[in-house]
Amino acid sequence: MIELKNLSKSYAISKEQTSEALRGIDLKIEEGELVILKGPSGSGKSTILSLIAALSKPTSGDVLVDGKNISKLSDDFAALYRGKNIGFVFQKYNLLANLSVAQNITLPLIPLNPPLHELEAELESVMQMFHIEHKKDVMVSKLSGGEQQRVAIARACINDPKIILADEPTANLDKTLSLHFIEILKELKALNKTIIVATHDPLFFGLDFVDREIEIADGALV
Amino acid sequence: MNKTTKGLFLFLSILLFVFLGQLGYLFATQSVTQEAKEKKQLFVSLTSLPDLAIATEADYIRHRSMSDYFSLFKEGPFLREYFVSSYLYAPSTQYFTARSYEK
Amino acid sequence: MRNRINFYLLEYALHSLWRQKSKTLFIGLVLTLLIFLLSALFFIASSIKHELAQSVDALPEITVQKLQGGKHTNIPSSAVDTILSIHGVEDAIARVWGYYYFQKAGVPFVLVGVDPFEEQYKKSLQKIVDNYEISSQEQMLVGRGVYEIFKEHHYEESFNFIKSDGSLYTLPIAGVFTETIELESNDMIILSKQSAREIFAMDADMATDIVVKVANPEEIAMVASKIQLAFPDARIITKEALQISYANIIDYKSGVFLSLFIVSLFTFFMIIYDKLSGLSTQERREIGILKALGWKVELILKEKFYEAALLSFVSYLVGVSVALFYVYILHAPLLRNIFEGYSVLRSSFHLPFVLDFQTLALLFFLSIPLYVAASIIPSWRVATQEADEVMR
Repeated sequence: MIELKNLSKSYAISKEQTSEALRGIDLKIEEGELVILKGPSGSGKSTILSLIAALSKPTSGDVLVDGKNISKLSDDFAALYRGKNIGFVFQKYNLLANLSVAQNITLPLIPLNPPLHELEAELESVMQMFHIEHKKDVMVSKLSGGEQQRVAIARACINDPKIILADEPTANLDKTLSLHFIEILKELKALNKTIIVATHDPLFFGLDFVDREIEIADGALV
Repeated sequence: MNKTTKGLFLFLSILLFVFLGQLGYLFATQSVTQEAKEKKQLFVSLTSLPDLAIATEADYIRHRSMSDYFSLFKEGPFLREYFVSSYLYAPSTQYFTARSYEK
Repeated sequence: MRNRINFYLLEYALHSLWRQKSKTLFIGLVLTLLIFLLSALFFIASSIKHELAQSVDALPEITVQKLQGGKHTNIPSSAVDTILSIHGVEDAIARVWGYYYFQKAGVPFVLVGVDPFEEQYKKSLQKIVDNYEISSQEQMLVGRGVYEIFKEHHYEESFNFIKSDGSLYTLPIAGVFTETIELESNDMIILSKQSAREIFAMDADMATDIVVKVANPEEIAMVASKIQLAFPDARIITKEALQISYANIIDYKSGVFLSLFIVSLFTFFMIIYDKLSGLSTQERREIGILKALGWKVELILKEKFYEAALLSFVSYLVGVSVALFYVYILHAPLLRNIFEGYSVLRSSFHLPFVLDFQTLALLFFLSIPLYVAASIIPSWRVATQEADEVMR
């Protein structure tokens, strides 16, 4: 379902210098698979997620999702693709601090302009799934780290995406909450989502429900 | 549409109402009526003087179009500045065209 | 695709404005203030112009002033006959008028001597004078402003003019001009020609100037040049020249301040533009997040448009409404000084209201699209970058 072909990405540091984040990655991830991308920070894990989500464009190589080459999509089609297929849990959650929980979670639905009752039904269902319905109208800035993460996950799931990407999801969480996140992963896996988690947290290593662990170092698969 | 949006539309319509209401009110009460227009014209035809009694501080700016350049200095050898009103515009372009008409 | 209006987006824009309360309030206030000042100026200027335009029809086509050594001087009344003999002249009237400086109050009045103190004019005079009761030639009609000043100095019934030889000349007040014509008559005193000559110490066969009526507007220039030929030392003022000079003076006065406001308006937009071009990291991040969540650039810009349009539209409505109230109901305190100068004799500034859609539209297009553009362009620049880059 997701296929990375000879994927390279370099960032311009200055006019002459570029830093290579990825060099020639080839990877295939099947539908419903739960994959852990592990490696030290700066190894290129986040870059892979961002390329799969079409948040940036590769320097060379292709990203195929369901056979479609998304690395060549125009800005608007990339947005459309993201809105339909991708749920992204960012490292710092990237919530809008001054909006309420409900407002944050429904952000991905605004472009679709659904009728109010549909929007509310979907909101209720994800809030229940991730146990934050009691905080519905609370400002996100007033939530604890674990609650913020649940909001981020709920937001990633509200458009019912096929692919869920999580970038260092437990970086800001203590152990209990991290274990809780792993529970949530299990639930998501049970919903037959394709999930890619980029992390260097050892808690994720060797879990029985994880299909594959892929190690990345210095922009290449190990 | 939920509460906030409804509130916004309510707010906007109140503003618009005040705006249009004021326009309407002023139009109805403060516009120049035909009667007032006739009165004004009657007075102006009586005096045949052109300007409005808005800047009245010195006579040469009161009916400015009737003044000559010398009037400017009649209060003293200095030019007394009446800020914007004492600005002098060339008396008339027609004045000159009337002259050139002779040739 | 659905074509329904996206209320969620509108709501998001509202929340976004609400979230940056102090910024919204500040920009809204400054924009409102600017629009208010601009529109108040426009309203005053257009009302004065309107007022002038209304009375201009009643003015004589040509005024003939005698100049002596370049100075305005009295013209012999006999010149009327010469002018009347010019073909095309309908009527010519020798006028007696001038200024009388009331030293105690420091106010110059305009004294106009007219013939219509006779019976046949009584009816028309009655229309514009309150409590009209003329019984003799030795009386005067005064403007409201003049009447106020008289009262302040305890001349309730009559006024003592000081003649050129130092003796007093007393004229009873026969009536006060009605409020409707206040803008025209405020500092005017209408009396008989005879009284005017007495006060100005003018000979009976002299006049201040001569006004000429020309029936056919196409002949005005021709008549003017013929009068000029007959009186080479005369200054000829045509009605058209008056109109041009009116328009110029009003435009000039409002223009001086308008240009200042335009400068401040553009400064404001430049500050906005400048501020937003370097969008704060938080705002950049927000745009990046929205993109990452599947918002198209178009949708993000639409949201920014809603924000800017709402803010500027509300500012426009409030600014113009307050200006209307300020100019036509409060009679423009402070701002009227620009137009009045420092006259001691204050006009009431009861400006006639003119429903001028052009002015309203001008203000609209001067404020809203500019602000919207100034705030959308920087967002557009950020929104078209890669989401990943913007979020960093």
